[in-house]
Amino acid sequence: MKTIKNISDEQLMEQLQAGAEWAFNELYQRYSQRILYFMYKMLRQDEAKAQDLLQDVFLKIVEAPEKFNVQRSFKTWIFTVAANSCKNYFRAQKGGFLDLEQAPNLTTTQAPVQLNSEAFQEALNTALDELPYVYKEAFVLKYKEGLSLKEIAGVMDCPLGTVKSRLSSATKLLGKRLAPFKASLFAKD
Amino acid sequence: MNIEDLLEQKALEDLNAAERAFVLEQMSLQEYEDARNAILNSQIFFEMEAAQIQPNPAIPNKALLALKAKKAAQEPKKKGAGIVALFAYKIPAWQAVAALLLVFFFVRGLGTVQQHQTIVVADESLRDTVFIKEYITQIKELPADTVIKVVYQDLKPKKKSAKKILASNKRAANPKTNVNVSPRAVVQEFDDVLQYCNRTSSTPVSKDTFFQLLSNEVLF
Repeated sequence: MKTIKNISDEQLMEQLQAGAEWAFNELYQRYSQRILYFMYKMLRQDEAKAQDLLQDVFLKIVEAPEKFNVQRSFKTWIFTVAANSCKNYFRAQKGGFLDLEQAPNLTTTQAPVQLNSEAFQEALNTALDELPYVYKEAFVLKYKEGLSLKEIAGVMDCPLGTVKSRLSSATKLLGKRLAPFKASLFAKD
Repeated sequence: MNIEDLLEQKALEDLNAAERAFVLEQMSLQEYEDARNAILNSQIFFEMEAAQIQPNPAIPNKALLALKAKKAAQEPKKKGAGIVALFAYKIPAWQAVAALLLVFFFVRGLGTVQQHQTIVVADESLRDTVFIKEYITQIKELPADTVIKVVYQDLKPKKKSAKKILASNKRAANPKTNVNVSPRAVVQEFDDVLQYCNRTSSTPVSKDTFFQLLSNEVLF
């Protein structure tokens, strides 16, 4: 027997295009948390703004579900909508974020750091926010949301090689910045 | 094999020779270890932080309200959906141009057909105006002293035609002007006239009827 959980995202969107509320509820259950957190990180931990944009994203889905091509991946599409919402928000702020491709001068801390989660949280958020916007976007999509490189290329609307390059740069920069924190960091708390 | 998956899945000491060589092509071993630590720590931190942030419960309600409003707005449209859909239907510009050209040539073709029909009508009216005269020549043996009078008749074989012929004969067969007419010749004349009348009339008459008519017109 086919349950709702077994229905693919794309099939749910087909149902939503026909006006099925249950399909919307299921898609909301599957993606709202992920989209919210993705936007939360992209908006520099501004939760209120992330909640507003999350509402906008799902309203867009409800108001114009026919814009989604059911032959494509829903996951890629909804993350694209969310990423574009964040970019539009920053554009409306008139340069409120780092230039998309500008490489930062990240300062590395070689001095011993107190090994706790709060320190790591602060260091990671600072490092992520200092990264070029597209580096951070690629990093979060890959290592938080688990999207494949091809899916990230779809979301960011760029070639696969560009995604690899951005990820490589992001991990190297973060590695340097977070070098004082070791893998056993959270185990010690 | 790609560096992103290796960083996420394998520690430095777990790399085989080929993987280690692949890594060394792109970064030093120290960079690999630092990048891997950053990724793993970030993933743990992301999960912890994400658990503390939950979507606003009002969002799905607002979205569902919007969905219901959209459905409600679409309902009245269904009444005139056919006509609305017809006007709302969009086609590429080249299809519109092609359709216009087709209509143009079709209408032009219709005009040509109408022209042909007009010609045919004119032809028929010309036929109606043509009159053909037909001359009928008859050779009769008559006595040498018979007065011959030429009578031209229109070819309209009606019932009255017999009367007209008889009338002409009446004038021609004047006993005072015809001298020495033998009875045999008279009978022959009557036979010839009857034969002529039957040939030209649409309603042939018998000899008895002919004589009856003749007696009514001539003798009495």
